[in-house]
Amino acid sequence: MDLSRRFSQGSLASPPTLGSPPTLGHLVDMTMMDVSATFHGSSLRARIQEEFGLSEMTVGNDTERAMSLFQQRMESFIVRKADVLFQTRATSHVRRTHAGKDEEDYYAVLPPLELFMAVPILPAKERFYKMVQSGDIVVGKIVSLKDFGFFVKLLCLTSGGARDIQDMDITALCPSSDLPSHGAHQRPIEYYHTNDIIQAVVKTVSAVDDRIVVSLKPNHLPQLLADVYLGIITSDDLPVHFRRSQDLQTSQASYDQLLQRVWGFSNPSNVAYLGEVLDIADKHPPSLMRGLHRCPFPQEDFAESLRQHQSSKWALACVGTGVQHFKAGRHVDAMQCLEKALTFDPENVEALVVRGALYANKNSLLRAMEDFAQALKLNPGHNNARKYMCDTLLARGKQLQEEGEDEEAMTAYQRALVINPHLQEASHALEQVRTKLENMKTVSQVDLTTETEEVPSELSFAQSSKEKLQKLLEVEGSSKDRSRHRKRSATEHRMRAQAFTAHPPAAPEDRPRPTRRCKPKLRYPITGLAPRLLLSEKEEKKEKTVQLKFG
Amino acid sequence: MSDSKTARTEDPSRRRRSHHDDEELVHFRIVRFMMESGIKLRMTSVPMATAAIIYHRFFSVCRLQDFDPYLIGMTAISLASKVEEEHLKIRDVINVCYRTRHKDKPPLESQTELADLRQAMASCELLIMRVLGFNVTKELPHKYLLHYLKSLGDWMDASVWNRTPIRDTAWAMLRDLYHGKVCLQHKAQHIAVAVLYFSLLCYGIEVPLNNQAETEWWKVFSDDISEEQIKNIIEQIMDVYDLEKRL
Repeated sequence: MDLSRRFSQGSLASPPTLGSPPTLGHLVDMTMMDVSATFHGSSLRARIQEEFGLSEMTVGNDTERAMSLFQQRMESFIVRKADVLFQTRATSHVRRTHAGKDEEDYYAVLPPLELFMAVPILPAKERFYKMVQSGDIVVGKIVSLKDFGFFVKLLCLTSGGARDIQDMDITALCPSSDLPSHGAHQRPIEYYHTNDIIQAVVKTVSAVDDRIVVSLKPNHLPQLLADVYLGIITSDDLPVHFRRSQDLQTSQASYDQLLQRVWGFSNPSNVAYLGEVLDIADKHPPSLMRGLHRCPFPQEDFAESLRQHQSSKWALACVGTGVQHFKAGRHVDAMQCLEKALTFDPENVEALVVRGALYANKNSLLRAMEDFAQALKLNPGHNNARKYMCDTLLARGKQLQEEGEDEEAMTAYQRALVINPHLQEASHALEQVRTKLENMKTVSQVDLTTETEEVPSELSFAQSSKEKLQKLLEVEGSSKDRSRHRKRSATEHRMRAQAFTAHPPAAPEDRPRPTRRCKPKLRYPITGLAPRLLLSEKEEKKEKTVQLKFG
Repeated sequence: MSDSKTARTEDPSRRRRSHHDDEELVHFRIVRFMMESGIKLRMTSVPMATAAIIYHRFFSVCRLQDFDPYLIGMTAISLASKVEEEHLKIRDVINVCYRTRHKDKPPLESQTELADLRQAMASCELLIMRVLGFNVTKELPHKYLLHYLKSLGDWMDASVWNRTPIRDTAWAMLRDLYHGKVCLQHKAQHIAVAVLYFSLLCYGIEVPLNNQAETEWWKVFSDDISEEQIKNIIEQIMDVYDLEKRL
């Protein structure tokens, strides 16, 4: 083969010829390929070597297989798809779930596979000792209590997956030092009794003499499972797969039968959930087909971009007709077209600008400003938008000045200058307003001393708010006097009580209701004292009667 | 005399076979088009599989010459998204399918053409429903495969399971086999087991203690299947991959 000769000469792979898969050796995980070759036999190994032009791979003990037709086909397939199958990729980790009660209905939790397979116990036990690691969470039954700790017969694993170890007769030790204290009065060990079921975390495993040490202290938990409860559990808290395996002993159902029976199997979102747990990316779905491998499609061909592109095209078409209507003077039709354009594409800059212009023409300056502001947010460099925005702000400023709101007129001019610092008209107008305001301020200060009723609008915001607050206080002051009562002497209290019993308050309809809010109030007291203290005697008495009524 | 007779009888079968192969190729192309559109519409595997099944079932009853297969494919996608409750907007489906079909033309802009296609799709949908007897759901292997992967994964060595992309490959094979008619010919559980077996075989991974167990792992998952049947299904899957070479 031409290709293999080129590769065996040691040159790097040139761009692949049409029809042959890319054969860059360094993109492929050699260990995986080795494992596969070892399994299938030397013929596969030879073919891979030939295809990839690799030097002699480590020849381990290859199993010799009978070359059936199926085996041949299998090997051709592996060789053809080798670059995709053995592609180097990041290790994908199955999510380490804790078999809690919540998981029960997300998918069908079944007893462990080895139970159905009925593996022989001794090899399984050996395997268990090799597989269990510190950080695994186990459930066990206390078999004997000693001074230094207690022995637990392990029933099952709850983290990382189902594992049936009940029949394996594995005992683990939980030393006293690893027991949390349950009060100052008893030793930790006295809290536990034989036949208690506990959930513990594996602390150490010694492979040499098959000894497992567990702990009930939370600090031995791995980070991912940090909130798992350790301690005595009831039979209700036993993991689902364990309970189901208990049922299995009696019912002898098959895997499939059990699967159909379990509620979680009919949960429609179990596909999504398990896909996530098993780390199978359905968003970028894997494929072994050449055309679909590696998602070769450009982003603009995806649904959202196509839709956006289409909407903006339609919007622009509408804007075009709208502008035509506008130029011909048909403002109503133009507005309709613009509204249509904006229903197609609410964030279309052109449409917003034209609609803003239409509003400005109709003299709805505020709406125009909103549209221009949004257009500028989407595209700060849009020249027309900036120009129109400035013009509208100027017009608005003038409008405000006519209404007398010079403050806000000033802000409008300032905004216009922010957008276009060189706008002469705006800076002129701004200066005008500023000087006018300063003049008015000095005038208003003189006004204040002559006690006019009306509030001059040139007062600063802080001052006018203080006025408003005082007004509010005066109104409140008449009704909420209880807290600001002056202290009464004991005799006064007695007198008042006597007065009360002698003259019980009249029925509500007899007593003339005091009209609290119509009292003429001094608004801007010259002295600056609190309004309460300036009330006349008569008014004070009235308030006292009010007090009695509510007292 | 007999020679010419055999020649005559051989000829039509060969013609039929090549015709059949051509049809297979056409269907492969259309399902590829559907898969591409599905990816661009961000469809997940289950509705995608349903769409492919609808397509294959339709054309196992109707003839390819009578209908525009691309239209049927597009309608199958929209129908499947409704069936599997992962709703897609019809405008999106039409946009994407049009773009995928006509890669050289600009994307659809004309409103009239969109309206026409929408109309076509609506009548097509009714046609498909009638042809399929309003029975558009079928049990899919995806659920089974995921549960098998979970159970098997708990038993396997964690390092091997995490390092070797058995799960991804099995899922990829399951998606890819919908290009052919394999999906219609076997039970969901059988397909799931076959795909898992195939994936393990590719990587040369053995299930621990399988040879010492009373029941082998694939027999546990589906007790009415034999190893022969599994190998059959795998061969059919490999046939589907071979079709791609001929595209």
